[in-house]
Amino acid sequence: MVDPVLLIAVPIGLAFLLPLLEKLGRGLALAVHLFVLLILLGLAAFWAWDAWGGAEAIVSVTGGRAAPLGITLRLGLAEAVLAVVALLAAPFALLQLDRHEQDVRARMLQLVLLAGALGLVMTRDLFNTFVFIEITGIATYALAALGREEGGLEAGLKYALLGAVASAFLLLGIGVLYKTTGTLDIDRMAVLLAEVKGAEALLALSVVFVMLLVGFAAELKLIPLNGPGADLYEGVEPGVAALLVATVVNGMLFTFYKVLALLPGDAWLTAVSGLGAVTFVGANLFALRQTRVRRMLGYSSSAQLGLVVTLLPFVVQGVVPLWAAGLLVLNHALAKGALLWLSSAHGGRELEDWTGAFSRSTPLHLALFGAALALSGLPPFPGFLGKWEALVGLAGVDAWGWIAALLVGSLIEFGWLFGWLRRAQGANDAEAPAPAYEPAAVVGPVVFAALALALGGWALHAVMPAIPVTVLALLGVGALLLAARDLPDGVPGAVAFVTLTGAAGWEIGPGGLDIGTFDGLFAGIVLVGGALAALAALGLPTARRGYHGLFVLLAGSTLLVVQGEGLLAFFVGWELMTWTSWALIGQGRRGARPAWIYMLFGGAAGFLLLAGLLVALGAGVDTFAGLASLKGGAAVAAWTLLALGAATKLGAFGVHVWAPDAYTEAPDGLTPFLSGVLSKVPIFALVLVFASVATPTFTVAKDGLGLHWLLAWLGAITGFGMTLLALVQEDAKKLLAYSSVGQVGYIVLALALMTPLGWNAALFHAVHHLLFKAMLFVAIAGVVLRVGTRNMYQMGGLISRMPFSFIIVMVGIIALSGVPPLAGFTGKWLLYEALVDKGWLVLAAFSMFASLVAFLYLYRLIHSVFLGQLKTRNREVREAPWPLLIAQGALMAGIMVLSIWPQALLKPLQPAIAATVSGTPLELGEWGALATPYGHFSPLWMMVFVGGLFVFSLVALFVLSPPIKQVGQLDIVYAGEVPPPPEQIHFAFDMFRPYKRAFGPLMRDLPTRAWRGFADSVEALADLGRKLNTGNGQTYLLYFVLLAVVLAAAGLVQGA
Amino acid sequence: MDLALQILWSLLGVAGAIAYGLVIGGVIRKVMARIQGRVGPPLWQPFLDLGKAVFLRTEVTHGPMFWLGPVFRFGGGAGMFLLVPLVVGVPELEFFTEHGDLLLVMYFMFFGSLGMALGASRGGHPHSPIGISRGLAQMTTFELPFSFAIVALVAATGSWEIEAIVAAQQGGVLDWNLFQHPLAAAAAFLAFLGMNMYSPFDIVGAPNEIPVGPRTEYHSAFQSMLMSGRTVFGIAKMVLFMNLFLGGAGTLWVALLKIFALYFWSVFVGAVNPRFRPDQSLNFFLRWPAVFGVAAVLVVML
Repeated sequence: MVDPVLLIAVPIGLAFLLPLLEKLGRGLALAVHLFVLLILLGLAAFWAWDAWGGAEAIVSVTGGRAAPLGITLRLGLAEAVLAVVALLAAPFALLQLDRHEQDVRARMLQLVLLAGALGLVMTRDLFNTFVFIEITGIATYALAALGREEGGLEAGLKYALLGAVASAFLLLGIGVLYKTTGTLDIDRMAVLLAEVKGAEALLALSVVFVMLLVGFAAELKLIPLNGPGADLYEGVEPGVAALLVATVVNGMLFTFYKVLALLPGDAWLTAVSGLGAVTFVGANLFALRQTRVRRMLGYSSSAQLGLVVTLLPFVVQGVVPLWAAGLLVLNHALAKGALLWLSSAHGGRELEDWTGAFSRSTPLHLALFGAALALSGLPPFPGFLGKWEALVGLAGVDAWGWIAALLVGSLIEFGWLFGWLRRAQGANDAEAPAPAYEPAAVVGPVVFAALALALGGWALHAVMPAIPVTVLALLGVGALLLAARDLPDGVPGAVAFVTLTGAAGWEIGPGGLDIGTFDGLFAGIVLVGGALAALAALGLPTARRGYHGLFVLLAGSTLLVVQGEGLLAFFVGWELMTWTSWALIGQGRRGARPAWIYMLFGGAAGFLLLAGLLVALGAGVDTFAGLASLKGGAAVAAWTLLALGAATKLGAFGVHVWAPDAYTEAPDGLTPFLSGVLSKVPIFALVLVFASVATPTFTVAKDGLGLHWLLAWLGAITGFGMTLLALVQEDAKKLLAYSSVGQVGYIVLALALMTPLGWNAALFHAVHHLLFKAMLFVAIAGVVLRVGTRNMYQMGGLISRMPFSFIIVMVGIIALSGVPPLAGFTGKWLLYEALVDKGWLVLAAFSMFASLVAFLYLYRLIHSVFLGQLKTRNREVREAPWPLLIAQGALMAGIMVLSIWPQALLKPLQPAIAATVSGTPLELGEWGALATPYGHFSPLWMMVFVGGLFVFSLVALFVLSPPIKQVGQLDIVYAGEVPPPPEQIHFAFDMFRPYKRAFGPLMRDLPTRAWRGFADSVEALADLGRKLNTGNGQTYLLYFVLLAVVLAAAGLVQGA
Repeated sequence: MDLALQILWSLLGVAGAIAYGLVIGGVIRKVMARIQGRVGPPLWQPFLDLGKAVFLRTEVTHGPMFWLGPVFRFGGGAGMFLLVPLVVGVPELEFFTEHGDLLLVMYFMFFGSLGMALGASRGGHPHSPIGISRGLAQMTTFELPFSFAIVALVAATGSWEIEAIVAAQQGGVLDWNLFQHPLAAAAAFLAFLGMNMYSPFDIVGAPNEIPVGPRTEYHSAFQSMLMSGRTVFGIAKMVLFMNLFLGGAGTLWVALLKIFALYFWSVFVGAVNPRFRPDQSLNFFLRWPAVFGVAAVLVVML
């Protein structure tokens, strides 16, 4: 049988053989090197496959003697998988080295490094571990020093010196352990240590553990000992760093995991988790202010190691499954490996250099984004499932502090990671020739990113319930379109449109969706909105390559949120939706920064939601319906966290700061979907939560008021605040963006009533808002396309050039404002009847007033764009392209149906609403009439009544004034003078100035300022990283001492 | 009642409202003139103005939307009038009230204003949007006290139906909401001043410095339609307030009397107050009237 020791022996042997082979010919040496690596890879893969199939771990005793004397190597599944990863990275690292024309020494060192790392993974002997640490250490310093990178020598030297200090700590610790137990075999030592008794012996052991911890903290680059590591990352060729990540770093982590078994008691494990958590949060924070990409990645490695170190004690205790930590380790190795190689291929050291990086090379571009997404722990990459499973485990033992730390760290990670990608999203110089990349530079990152994707997809597939076929189809087509983003213009758009229309037709057709259920209704919203947005996109210039693929992905993941089974599927869909929409927003011309802010708030929303889900998952609940079984504090916590997450995602007042810019700067074809559909997804989440978790109440005066009441106020204030901000916008899209956020506030208000009337109002408005807001955004997209600006004061009088768009906008504003006879009034009517029914009178009156303020911005929109004076430069403007017009027409038809016959929507919904909330029902009368005990009205009658009045007045005017002559736009009453040019007499700029005076501070976006201040403080805190990691070796040494002192003090306190 | 008969009564009602509104308009002009020490025009002057506008030839238009402005205005005014019962208990004079409640009436008020705003803006004259933006801004702020007053009344009555609100005030004069809910009444009647756009809230039309505000470009037949629409709309607002606060009307004569009285609340205030700037009038409604409104709702809740 083949012995695992070969994995160590062969590389070392080859390392010594290489110089000889080199003499025979460089090509031969390379070929042999590569061949051997591939053989070893095959071997490791075979073992891994075997172990996966359930084979027992291979235990190999070297030296010919049993454990205490000989050295035991163990190769189980974990070890084999780590070996596979290391051996996967090695060939690419070799090719990389060759590209840089380094001599044979570097290749030898790589082999030594590999052997050392594999030894670290497999050995069960403590002293042997130390030896392997030294081997890898020396190889690392040498590799760093060999490179031609600026600062590499210095970094290598510092790393070597401080590594020596770390080794000294380790060696001392190991020595004392050996003296205490008389063995170096880890497994045996663990048994013997457990038997140690007596205060003095235990105290001695504490010192040992402090030494071991300090030593490993340095090796794993934990804060505060992460400085040398960061310097090293900055100083070495990134290709070398990639090899380090895939080999030594993993080996070190696994070794640490083995050593953890020696630590007695939970207090030590807590200290380890503490170090890890501080590192995860701290290193990500430090990365936030880095402008140098490599150093940033160095901090990121510390952070990722910190993440795993936080979890390892819980793995040892059986709280978190080993495979979860394993997924995180693999995820880091693959993602970081890919990113480092990309960094090497790109060569840009500063963040600014990364503007538009790889935008010409589809594989590299996708690899960059894929690897970064994997690193941030987003689905479908393995990091996502690893974190999810780990957090679920932590929730099961109520380790909420650790969960909070991990979530906060992950959010900060989003900050720098997406800040980096923000550069890459930026447009680069289209005129410059496309840079050429060597094949060796391309294959490594692409293979690693693809492996991460495959591994993540496979793992998710293994644990998730079956995904609905439509979702799967959309995700598949989206991914294919994304990969084929170089197809000629028009093809991806057409494919996306056909796919989404097909999906909508398939699902909505006979025997498909039941809009009488909540998920059916929202799935309908997603599919209709998706198909129409895809149609509209056909008429607009494509933002960037890959737009349509991402859009189909977005639609598919949104559908997954709605239709997926269980909490995991919901959250996978949610996070997929978050990052696909982020990528799409970033495609806007000035969308990169808004997209970044969107991602931060979207990430925060996701984590709040996740925390809420974890409350349920910790209690063993894995469906939304199961939330009903939560009791007491758990129910309140779940409800609150989920509601906060949803509120953040829908842009409630205070956390709305991401929304207006994201909506505005997103590509014009996307905004209708963002506003019409994505803003409904958090509403859907609220529906699910409200439907299952009982209302948490607190007592005020004599009545118990629920948290719902607070949420209702939040909704109303959102509505009011956004309306005020909308009316001071000069940008048509931004005006609609604020309006959109505000309208969703009213949906929240209605939903929070928790009565049948309220839910009727909320669901009706949700559908209606999709129709009119998507329609308005599409119409404005057409105008912006034709006029070439979003500033309303640069438009005016377009009614004569774009009459159809005008009619659409007019219908849209009538629908939005709630003026009869369109469906907006039905929505308002339902809402106010419901508020009075509930008895929340102040809220009723306030929201009635607030919703009327919307008239101001609506008038501003239609007047400034379509009425008034046509500007000279817009004389030749044409009507919007036909795909936009068709989409608008379809949406208008929907509004008309809802206006004439709202029962078409409300009637199927009644059973589901009645089964979910209790209270006064809505009465559906004959001829489409709606009634409550408080009032009634008939939409159909109203339409006829208004029609009658209109026709009567029209005829009257015809009689009074027969057809007459239309005059030119400047033939106006101007006190006998010739009017100035249209540019000077179009009243549009700063239209509601008196309003600003009257409302004062309310008209300024104070929350945005507050958040800006908060961001400044976080950045100031992040600057601490620069101050701590000075690059001075003496300072680093001081940290060793300080860490040892702190740990020892903590140990003493604990012992006492 | 037969639909044809109902339509006939509605036509009569609208025509009557226009006629009565013009009479009141004449009286107001006379009263204002006398206050200002002038003789003033004859009482029938508004009829002459309307007649002149009707029979003037109309030659120019600024396009279909401009043309539709007056149609919206008149339709909105007449529609609102027909949705409020003039005399409760007399089916002929309740018009189409049975088809909607107070909420419908409140939102129908905006139908004419919105259409008129669109039409006037289409005229292309900068004075129109200036006047409209001022008018809309003022409207939103007086809706603050008004919304609270309405919600207080509705909550106290337990219904959005106007008939129910009227029914709840039957008995004596002291049963009127004016006295039963003085805070709501205070809020609503202050909002009412803004609604009627007499001084001090007449910056919208700004008769002196801007020729006629939103209506600048409208003339002759358009003007006649706007005038009659405005008149019937004014009457409709009075009828609404009568029903909400003054116990409605049992007979036509009582209705006419109460409408007349309501008109003069605005006229008396207007006669003795100078005009507000736009931001001053906005601020006015956001202060005491709003406080009264909120207090009215709180009183009902407690």
